[in-house]
Amino acid sequence: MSAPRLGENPFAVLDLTSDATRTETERAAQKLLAMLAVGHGSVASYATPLGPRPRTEALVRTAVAALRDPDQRLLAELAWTPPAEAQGATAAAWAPYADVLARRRPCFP
Amino acid sequence: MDPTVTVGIDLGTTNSTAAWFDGVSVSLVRSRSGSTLTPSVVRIDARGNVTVGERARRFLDSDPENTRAEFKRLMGTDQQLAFAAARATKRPQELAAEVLRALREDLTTQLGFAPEQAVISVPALFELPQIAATGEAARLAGFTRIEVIQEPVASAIAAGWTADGPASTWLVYDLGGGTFDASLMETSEGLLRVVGHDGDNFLGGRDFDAAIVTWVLERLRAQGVKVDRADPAHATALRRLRWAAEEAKIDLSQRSSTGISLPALFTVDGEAVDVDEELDVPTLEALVAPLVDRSIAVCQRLLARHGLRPDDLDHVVLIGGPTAMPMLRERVKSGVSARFATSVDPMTAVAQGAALFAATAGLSARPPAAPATGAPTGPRVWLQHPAVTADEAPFLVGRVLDPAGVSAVRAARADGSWTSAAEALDAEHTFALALSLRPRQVNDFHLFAVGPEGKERPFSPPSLRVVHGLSVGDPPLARSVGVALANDGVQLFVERGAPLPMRRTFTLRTVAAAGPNSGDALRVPIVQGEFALAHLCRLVGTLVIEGSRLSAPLPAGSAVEITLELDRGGRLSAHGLIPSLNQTFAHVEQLVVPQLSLDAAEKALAELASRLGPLQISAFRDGDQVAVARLGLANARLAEALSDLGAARGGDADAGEKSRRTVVDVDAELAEIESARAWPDAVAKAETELAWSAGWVAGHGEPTERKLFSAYIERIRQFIQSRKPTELAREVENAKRFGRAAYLRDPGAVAWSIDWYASRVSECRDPAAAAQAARAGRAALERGDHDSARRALSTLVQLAPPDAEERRLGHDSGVR
Amino acid sequence: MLPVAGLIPLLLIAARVAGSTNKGSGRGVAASALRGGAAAPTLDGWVALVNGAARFGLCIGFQSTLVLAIAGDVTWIGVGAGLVLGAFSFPTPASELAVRLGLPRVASYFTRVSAPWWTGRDPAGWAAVQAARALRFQRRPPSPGVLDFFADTAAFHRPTMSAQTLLARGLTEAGLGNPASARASLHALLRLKPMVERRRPFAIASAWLVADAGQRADWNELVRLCRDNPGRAGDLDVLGELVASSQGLAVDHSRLSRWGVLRRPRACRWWKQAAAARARPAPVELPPPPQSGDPIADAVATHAWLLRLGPSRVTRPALSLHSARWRVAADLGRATVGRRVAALGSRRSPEEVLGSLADGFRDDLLELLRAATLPGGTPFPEGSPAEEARVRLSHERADAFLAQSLAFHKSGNLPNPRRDAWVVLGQTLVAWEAFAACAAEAERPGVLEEGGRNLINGAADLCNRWREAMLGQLVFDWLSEAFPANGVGGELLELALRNAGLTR
Repeated sequence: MSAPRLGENPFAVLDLTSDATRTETERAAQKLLAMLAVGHGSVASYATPLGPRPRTEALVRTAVAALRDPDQRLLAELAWTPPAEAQGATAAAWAPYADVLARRRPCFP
Repeated sequence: MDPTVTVGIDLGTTNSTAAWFDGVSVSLVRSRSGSTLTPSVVRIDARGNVTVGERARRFLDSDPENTRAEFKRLMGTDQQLAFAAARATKRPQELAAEVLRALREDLTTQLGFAPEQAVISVPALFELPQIAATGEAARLAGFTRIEVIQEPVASAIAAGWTADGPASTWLVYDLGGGTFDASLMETSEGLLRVVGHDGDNFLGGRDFDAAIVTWVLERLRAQGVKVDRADPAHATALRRLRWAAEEAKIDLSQRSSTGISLPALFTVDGEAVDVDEELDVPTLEALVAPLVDRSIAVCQRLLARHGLRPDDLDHVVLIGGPTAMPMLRERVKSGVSARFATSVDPMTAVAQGAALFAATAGLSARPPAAPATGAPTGPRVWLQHPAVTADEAPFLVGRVLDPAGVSAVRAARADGSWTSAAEALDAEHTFALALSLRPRQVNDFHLFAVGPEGKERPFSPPSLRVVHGLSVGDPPLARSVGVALANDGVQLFVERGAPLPMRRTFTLRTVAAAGPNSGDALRVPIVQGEFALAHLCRLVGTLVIEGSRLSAPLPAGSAVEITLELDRGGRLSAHGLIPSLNQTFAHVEQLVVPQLSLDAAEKALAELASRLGPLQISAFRDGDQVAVARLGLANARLAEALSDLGAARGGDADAGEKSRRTVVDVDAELAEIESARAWPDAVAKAETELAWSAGWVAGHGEPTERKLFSAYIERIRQFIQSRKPTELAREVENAKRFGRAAYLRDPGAVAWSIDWYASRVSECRDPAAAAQAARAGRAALERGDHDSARRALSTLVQLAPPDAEERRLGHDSGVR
Repeated sequence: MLPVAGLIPLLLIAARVAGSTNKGSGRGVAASALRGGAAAPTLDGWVALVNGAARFGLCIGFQSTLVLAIAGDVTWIGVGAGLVLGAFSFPTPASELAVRLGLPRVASYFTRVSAPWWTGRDPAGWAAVQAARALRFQRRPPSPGVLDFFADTAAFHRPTMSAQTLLARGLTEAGLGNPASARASLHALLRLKPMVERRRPFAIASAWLVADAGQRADWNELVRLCRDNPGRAGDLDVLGELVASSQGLAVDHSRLSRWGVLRRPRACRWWKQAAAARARPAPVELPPPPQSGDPIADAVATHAWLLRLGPSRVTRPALSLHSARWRVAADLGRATVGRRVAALGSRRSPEEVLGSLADGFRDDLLELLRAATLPGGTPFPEGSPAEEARVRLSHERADAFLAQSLAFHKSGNLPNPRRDAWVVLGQTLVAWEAFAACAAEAERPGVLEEGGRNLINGAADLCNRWREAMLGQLVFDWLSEAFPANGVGGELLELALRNAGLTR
């Protein structure tokens, strides 16, 4: 069993901090699953240190199951870090040149 | 308001039960004859009329050609069961559908409406093809949607619901007619969580009956009458004998001795043979003791795997008819734990638990209500909330479908003691409202739509019900699911214990080219099991990508993205996406338990027996108690499988299935024992090789090499500690490269190597050239010309015999 | 007018004579007909005969038509005939016209009958290139049968594949919409540099690969290709440095000063457009997180920072910082972990938990390193997740390389080996470069030895069964460069060659 990946930390998926109690976890999971089923827009993505990621029902279920298991919860706590502002994409720096380079027809000499 | 009614069905090997839960209590459905149990027996007569249950069971003895029972074990296979008079063949799932249909009719009588959705229980170790077959049976019976629940979860829910205590650990011991399941559960803070499963798909009350039959046949043989189980002429008689044995077994739970009396049962050599034996409790106990011990061993294995001792268990729940046997209870008490939970009815607990689970899953059995005509109702709203929860402040989430004139939502508890603040709707007309529940009670709430000036009207539906009780964690997957690779490895997709539903995607690469003109198909085999070798896992389906459906040729090494998806009941769907062609394939063939022919099974059993012998001898010599015990058990199972094979030849399809499964199980067991015994040897070998390499690297290695080598040593130590044989072998190979490089720098080494290779000249690909190179090398050494000697050595290395061919055991996999 | 027109055929003949004495194409097309040797004359022979003998007549014919048209008797039939004859007389421009019109077979034919100074040693190959270029100008998607057309073209020819045919193969794949195989073929081509004398195929191949890398936003790859620049195209030099500067990589100013750009006005377009979009934001600097008191939280924050950098901005110093902070966490964090283990009732030891955390880091870093192109070099500190990830990656890539080399060994069994073995070779060489980029020095010789053996055996097989001598030669050349560079003894190569029955 290895620690959860940085973009899929259960606490991040459920929008909790690492000191959440069992009741808070279950309540958050139930609320998120219901809101996803109804199509509430505000829960469509969650914040991670690597930027916002889409939230799906499967992710929420996996997250709450992980937090119920004491071993996995410990790893999730250790591996949790607060999501920071996502830094600008590197590709944006080269965006003005992108369409120059992206021309499908290379310049044959 | 019509209360939500949820339905749960226990589809058992011998008996089936249905129950319903109306939010307050669980009730069992009674069949027309008034019993809560419906035997899983189906009869089809000459006119095609189908009879199910108690009435069909009466014909089991007299009309065995047209009456079938105990087809649950055959679900998921493509075995056809023949009904002679009706001249029809049915698959096991069609017979199960008949049973479900009968139960559904009984439910309709008692509920007043035909249930649309239900929860059906399956054994925890049911494999994916069998779960799929259950779903198909339900569909055939007329259910629009079902969820599948594992039987131990259902029984624990039934037992946990009535209990009301602190955090505790439970073991559910479920010995049914055909299958045995052991499950470890934990309830804490109102949450029921399945920690682990184990069991045996071929151990049940039926095997007790088979043991009695074997005993009777042995008594007959002692009297000089030989009855061959493999003889098809005796099939009917054997079946009658089995039913008699079952009745005798049930009798003996209340009496101390009973008789099995069947006059003129067999006809051997033209003579009629009577069966008239007296069976008493001690004999029965001696007969079934090995089977019960097997079940206890499974329980102990489960506990050990999760680091628990039997004392750590708070409750043991016994489920299933055979657990009424006092001897069995004694054994469980001594082998596992003494604290039986008594508030559970062993025969009906599963159905009750399934109905309770249906409530937590929100599966209302009522058909969707017709749109109300007449009096105008309020704005429609679509609600999502748990029907049963342990949380005292759950959320009510919903979307208002007629948002005109509605700006906020308010909820009030029906008894008037609590009301919420008005929660405003967001841009998409959805809201999330926190409710407050009274503990351990049914809570009804009224919902109001708040207009712009504060005017309130009721919604439609105007109220909802939430029950405060137990929450159930998602059931975990019983056996890991993965894809077999071409090198007999397994790419694990979903590991055992992962919560369902679950979906995973991995990118694999093809090993051979495929294309529209090649005519080959790309096969991605899906396997279930805990082993790292694909051939030891069970094949449950193959995703086939036909070459003719590819839009362009696909070269070897192209990426294929495989997605496996398991729903809450463990039903599998798979699809593959080829990104370079942008095509998706979802054709999974062979979702059916694969069949070994009886002859192949017999050959396999013989081969296993021949492997078993030497293993037993060497384990005994080394004093390895654990291995000796396991091998003894395996030996017993092999003997059983042989007799089952005989019975299969006589027409008993179920015994045939069981013997095939035993073959695979014992193969896996032997492989495990072999690798476990091989482990110390592998470690010793690795350490010797490492020591050899280390010596040379220390003597002749470059500084960078030495540093890297020490890192390898560290890694190898870790692999030894964590018992990873493949990684260990590979790291040792890498380390040996360093050793070899350093070794070759030593002048003396060249001489020794030439001698070593020279002694193996005959094995080389080109013996003449090898011999010549050896001579040249020796001559060069005598001259003192080290460079030529080294060159000659390189020639010898090049000509050394190649490695053995790979065993193509990966089920013909086309991916790596 | 007439005397001037009469000079035209004389000039053409003179050009033919001059072309036929050109070194390298000295054998000429006619000689290739003789070398064809076998009982029936090959297509080349016929082409040579028609080419030589009829060209003169066609020129006269064209000239006469021209004269007639100018003299006044203009009919549409005459003009049409004149154009056709003109095309036959000047096949080089005719082929270019066919390319622009998107007619592969027509372009291919005209190229074959063109003058040798243009087509080079391998007119059939160059014909294939022209046909491939024509594919790009077609309006409708090309049919897969086109690929077989090229295979047949190559099959007539002995020795078989050449740089031009490989280029044609790559461009055809690109035209058919298989960028991955196109990439593999063109990469294989770029490695043929020592063998082939013309720069043009390399210029075209690198231009395509650069455009492809740009389209995939794989900037590291783009810069690498521009810096390799085997076709010595000036515009790629400038482009590479522009991209490097925007990515924050070191800029090689000597390349920028190659004003070859100005000599190639069409290529200047790229440069000009790139320079015109001057208002680009500087790449955002991302400093590592500061150290707080909690070593484990520090390590996790550093890990998050590293992943935020992404594969295009990760550097060796960043990974070393990650390893250092991990070391600190592993040493000092045990107490914190022990407390939490007890509180949660877990049954694992603190070492196990820290090990699982390290495994999680290792998996993340593995994914990062897979996508990044770090310069190879010294390994990372022992035991750190970065080093574990690097080792796993190098094992993965070693496996991939060995599997590819094995596939090359077996490529003689493919349905059309002379066409497809090149792609497999290209993939193998790409796989080797990927492995060498992440493997430590000491790990390379063993893997290269094993892979090299497969490559030699494969080349031997192709030589003996399919008479692909050029492929064998290429494999040998590549290995004789790669073996000493990676610490594998040279005598091994000699022995392997002798075993496989090849000679230098």
